[in-house]
Amino acid sequence: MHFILAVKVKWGKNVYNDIELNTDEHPLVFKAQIFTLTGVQPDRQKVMLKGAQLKDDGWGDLPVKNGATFLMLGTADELALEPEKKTVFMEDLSEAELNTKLDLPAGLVNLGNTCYMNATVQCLKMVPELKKSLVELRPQGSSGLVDSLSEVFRSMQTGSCVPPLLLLGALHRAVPRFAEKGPNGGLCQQDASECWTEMVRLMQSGLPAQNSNKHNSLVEQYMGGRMSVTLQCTESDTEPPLVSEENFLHLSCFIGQETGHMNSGLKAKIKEQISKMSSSLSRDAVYTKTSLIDRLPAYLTVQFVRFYYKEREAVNAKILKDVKFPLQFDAWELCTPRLQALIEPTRAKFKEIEDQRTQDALEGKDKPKPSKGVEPMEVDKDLEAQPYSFTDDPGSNNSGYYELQAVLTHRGRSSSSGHYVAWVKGDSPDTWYKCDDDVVSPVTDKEILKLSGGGDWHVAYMLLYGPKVLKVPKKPAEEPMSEN
Amino acid sequence: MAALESLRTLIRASTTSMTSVPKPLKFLRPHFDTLKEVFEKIQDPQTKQFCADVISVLAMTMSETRECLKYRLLGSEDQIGEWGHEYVRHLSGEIAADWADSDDQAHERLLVLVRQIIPYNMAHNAEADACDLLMEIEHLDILEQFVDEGAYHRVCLYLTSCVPYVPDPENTILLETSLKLNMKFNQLPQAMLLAMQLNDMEKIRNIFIQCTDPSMQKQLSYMLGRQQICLEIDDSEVKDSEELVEIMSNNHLNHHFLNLARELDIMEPKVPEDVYKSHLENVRATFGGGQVDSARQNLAASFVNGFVNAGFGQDKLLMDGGTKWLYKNKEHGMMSATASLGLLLLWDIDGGLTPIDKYLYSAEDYIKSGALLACGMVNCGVRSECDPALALLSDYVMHTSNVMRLGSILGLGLAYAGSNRSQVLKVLTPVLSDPKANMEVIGVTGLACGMIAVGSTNSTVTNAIMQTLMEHSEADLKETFARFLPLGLGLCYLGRQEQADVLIESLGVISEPFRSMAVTMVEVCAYAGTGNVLKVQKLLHICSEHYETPEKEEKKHDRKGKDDKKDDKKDDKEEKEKDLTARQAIAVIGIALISMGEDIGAEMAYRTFGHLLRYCEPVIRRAVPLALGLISVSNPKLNILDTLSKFSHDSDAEVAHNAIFAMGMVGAGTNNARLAAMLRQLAQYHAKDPNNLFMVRIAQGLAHLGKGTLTLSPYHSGHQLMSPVAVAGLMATLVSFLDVKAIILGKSHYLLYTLVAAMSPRMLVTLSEDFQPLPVPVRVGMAVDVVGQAGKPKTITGFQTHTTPVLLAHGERAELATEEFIPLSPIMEGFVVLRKNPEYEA
Repeated sequence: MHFILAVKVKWGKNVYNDIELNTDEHPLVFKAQIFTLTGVQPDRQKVMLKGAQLKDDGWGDLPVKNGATFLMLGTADELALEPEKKTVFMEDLSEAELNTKLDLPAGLVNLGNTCYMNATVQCLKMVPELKKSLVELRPQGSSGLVDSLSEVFRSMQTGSCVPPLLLLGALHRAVPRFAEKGPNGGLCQQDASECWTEMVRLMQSGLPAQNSNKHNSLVEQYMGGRMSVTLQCTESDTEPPLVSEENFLHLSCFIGQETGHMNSGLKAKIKEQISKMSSSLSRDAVYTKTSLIDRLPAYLTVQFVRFYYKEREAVNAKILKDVKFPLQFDAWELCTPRLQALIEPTRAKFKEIEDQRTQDALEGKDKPKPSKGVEPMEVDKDLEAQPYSFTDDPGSNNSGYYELQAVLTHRGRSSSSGHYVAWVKGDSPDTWYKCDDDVVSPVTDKEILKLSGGGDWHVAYMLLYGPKVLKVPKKPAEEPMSEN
Repeated sequence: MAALESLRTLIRASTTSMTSVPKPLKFLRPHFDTLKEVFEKIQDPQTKQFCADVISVLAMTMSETRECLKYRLLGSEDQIGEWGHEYVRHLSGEIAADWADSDDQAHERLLVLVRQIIPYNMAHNAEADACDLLMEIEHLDILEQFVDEGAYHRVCLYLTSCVPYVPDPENTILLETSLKLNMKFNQLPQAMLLAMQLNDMEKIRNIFIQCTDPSMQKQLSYMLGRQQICLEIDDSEVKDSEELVEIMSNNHLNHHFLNLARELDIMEPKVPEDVYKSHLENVRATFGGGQVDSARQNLAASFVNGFVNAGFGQDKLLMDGGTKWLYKNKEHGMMSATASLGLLLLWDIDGGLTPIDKYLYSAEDYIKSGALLACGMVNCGVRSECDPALALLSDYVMHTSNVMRLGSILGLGLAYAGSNRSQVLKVLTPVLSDPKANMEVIGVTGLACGMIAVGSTNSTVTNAIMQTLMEHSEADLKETFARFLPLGLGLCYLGRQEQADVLIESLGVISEPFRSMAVTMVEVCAYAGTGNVLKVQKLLHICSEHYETPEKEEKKHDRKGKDDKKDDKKDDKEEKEKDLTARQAIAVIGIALISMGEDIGAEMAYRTFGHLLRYCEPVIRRAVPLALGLISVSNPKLNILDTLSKFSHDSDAEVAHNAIFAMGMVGAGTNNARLAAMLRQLAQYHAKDPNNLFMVRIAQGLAHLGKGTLTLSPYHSGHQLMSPVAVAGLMATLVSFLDVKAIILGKSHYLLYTLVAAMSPRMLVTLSEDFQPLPVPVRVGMAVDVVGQAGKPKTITGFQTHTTPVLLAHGERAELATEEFIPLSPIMEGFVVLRKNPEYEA
């Protein structure tokens, strides 16, 4: 007996009416019929009726009736393919891997009150030239401070947290007083500023200068400045001013009653009254000491003189006073007239670019501009960084403009207690990292400016300024055009 | 005699129009006792009756006892209304009081009086009083005789609004009376609503078959479709049955929803970022973002994408990007990501299954499982005669891979939720007794069975689940997924009130720690939405039990006794304490579930929750945000949002998770700007906590559910009807949030898709009699409570005029702004068929 039925087949929104179906024939025949109509391969077809699927081996007990409606599922599309590259998930990564992915600088493990050292190392790492030469330094097998520091920098590049054991040992050997132990056998907290000074001093001998014959060491070349000091006797007009030169590795910002800003703290040091044995008067006389900078290093260190020795309590007490510091620092007022003349041309260029930009911004008001966040990035692409040093003196600053690179803060009431943390600038604008020993976390500009003191929060102790790099448009004529 | 007559006339003349106690009575007061004495002495029966009348009226002001009634019965049986309104009211009160402590004979006498009072009340705009009296004496059946065309509407309104305040079984009687009245005046839509409220299939069927008007049939079909009831009818009973069945199975839903979307110009798909609006968050640009994919955040994005574009059939993540996005998820995440396709293609049986089909060929079990779940979701609330969901999914129910089983089982549960189809249950029940299935599969099966048989008291399901509960050891039942088995039981008896007692009785065989939890679960489900105060009190009792206090007492006792004994007992106590907490959590949700039906109960529950949050155990605190969410689903009330917002910062992580999710639930599908701002702020606050951030994202997705066109509220048709399927979906989600760490934040986040069962468009679509969308102007405004108000009060306030289709927010009501058409349904919600007004003149 033959059953030839007319059925309907629904496929998506299409309905095919009056398809002939013979239940004596193999179901594949029916599927082939559907294939001709829809173009869906029989093996990709799912044909169903009244809550049951049509199997390839027979009609089974499907309640096929005349006029029944089949539903067919299936696509002629390509099947979903697995992507070749597996997606890596944040949750699967170790902390170190995550840090590299996120471009976070590596942290340093605290080995027991060694945050002062960790913070110093993190800050010094912000001098790229220093870091580069240290990383590239061939190990000499010795266990000196420079070697171990270079070792630490190298392992920090992998992004994982480093326990600076060797460095600590080397530091203790080089500066025995840092190895001082507390009453219960642990290491004592030390003054980070001292550690900074000592490290820089030790590196002076370990690293040679680059492309320069003026300086003996890399540290001097990039971080050392020269001060021109004039001593003028105020009590005698005849005595000629005594001019001398002093080299410095950092500027000190003294905090007095009126000091509210780093600039004023630094300026207070320019003119000082000292008493000195006058050769012409043959007695102690009051001299005016004028110290002006004659060479600006590329990386300028500013130390806040926050600690003073309280004799009664025999501690280095801290001045908690709020002293603001700028993210952009202009050293113009601290320079000698000679240097001012030298840096003038570069400063003019800075101004020119700045003016250009403001004008562009003014003119560009009507233009549809990309959103604020994207703009600086795009502008940067068309710019070319200019050298920041005088051509005849690599490692100097040729404009007097600086940008803050790193802040070393202290939290606590005396230098030998509390906690030191380094805050370093990231690559992208407005990104800073807080390097609290092994924990590195991102922070913003605003939080950096909050480190100015005035409370029990972290207070800036050492600042490291780097040169502000002049960026000149590559094709100045075309740039404004392209925006239209 | 003559004196009495004149007294009577005097009193009557001064009382007819007054409701206060009239002057003449004041002067008679000192003579009350004398009058009574006189009455005793009078011999002439007629005079005696007159005298009784006068005393009866006087007693209204004088007597503390029921003398008014007593003398009324002794008096002449003439027009009761002649003594004025106040008298009738007073008499009614005394009858009600007397009824309780008198016998049948007295009842007969009282009934005679009642039969006089009722028509008087009906004729004088005091329908509410009439109803009250009849409710007190439990004789609502009399009502039907006295209600006329003008009054029945107000009577019915009053009766139905009384339902939440009277105890079981009186509430059912009220509904039935109201139903009868509506039938008497041939108000089929209202009658249908009441029948659905009663959940009485027989009555629904009768009403439907009784209807002969084809347009009205369509209207009734739409109403049934909204409640997801699909009658099996054929042409012998009703003409054009095929067409009507199609309406009841909601096949048109997708089409009309998309129509609405086009009308509102919101077809453009949204990406999760459109909802997060993280550029408004005050954080620096995503830090190192784009380089690493966070599996959890991608999972959240999958959910959000699904929720936001639900039902629109297009998005930018899955359908455009192809499979790339799926592989940006991990393991179970892939399952949920694939399953979100089901959300996108919601209700689109014809076109929706094809795009999902290709994922069934994937090599990855998780993707296949997700695709199965998606197939189920597409069919949720929509029925097709081909039953594609059953055909596709049933093969995988007994699959070797547990992952595949989960997808197919939950898919079936969602696709056939509320259908009570034995064919589907036959496929699912064997899983419950399958030794190879793990507890997760069994739990989800129990849930799926419960959802399919929701409110049906289907014994196949309850027996199968009971069997499973008995077969498993105590240790098995301690697993977190075991909690879905009693939920399955409870859902079977959803809204069935005392019918569940038998089941509760039989739960006694299970060993203790689990028993009390199961009993509470079934009980709260049985009374869901009834507003039953007694049950709420009982639940509060459960919550208020502190388990530390008895322990301390125990210690004091034991100090006198032996030390080892003390240790034993202490362990016992601790054990008990831990286990009973599960019960308390259920009880908290139960309070919300029972009282969510009406506003006063919900308000009281809100205040109770405040106390619970402050003084109770952690487990209760964790459940309270969920309960808060449940009493105000898709209705972002400020006070609730504020409370939740407070607890979204809680130090207990689980309280915070639940509070954040509850915020999403409260604002689900509303696009509420205030909530969106709160959630953005939370996203900032929890930026470093991936779990909480995940919750915030989910909540953000929910708040923009279907771009603000969908609602999760289980109540519809003027807040009168509770959709059991929607409640099942909400309960399934909430119960899984009771162990948020292990279930939602663990690997079983796919349970979030149970919310699909509760999703429905909050729209009003007007149709012409031949099925075509008919744009007409309507006024949409806040609904006004008109219960018990005389005359024809305005039903909406602060309205705006729109053209259909329109969206209706919570508590809003619509009315036609044109005389040109007459709506066939009194409730302007969902689909309303319009008929041309024959008397309309342009």
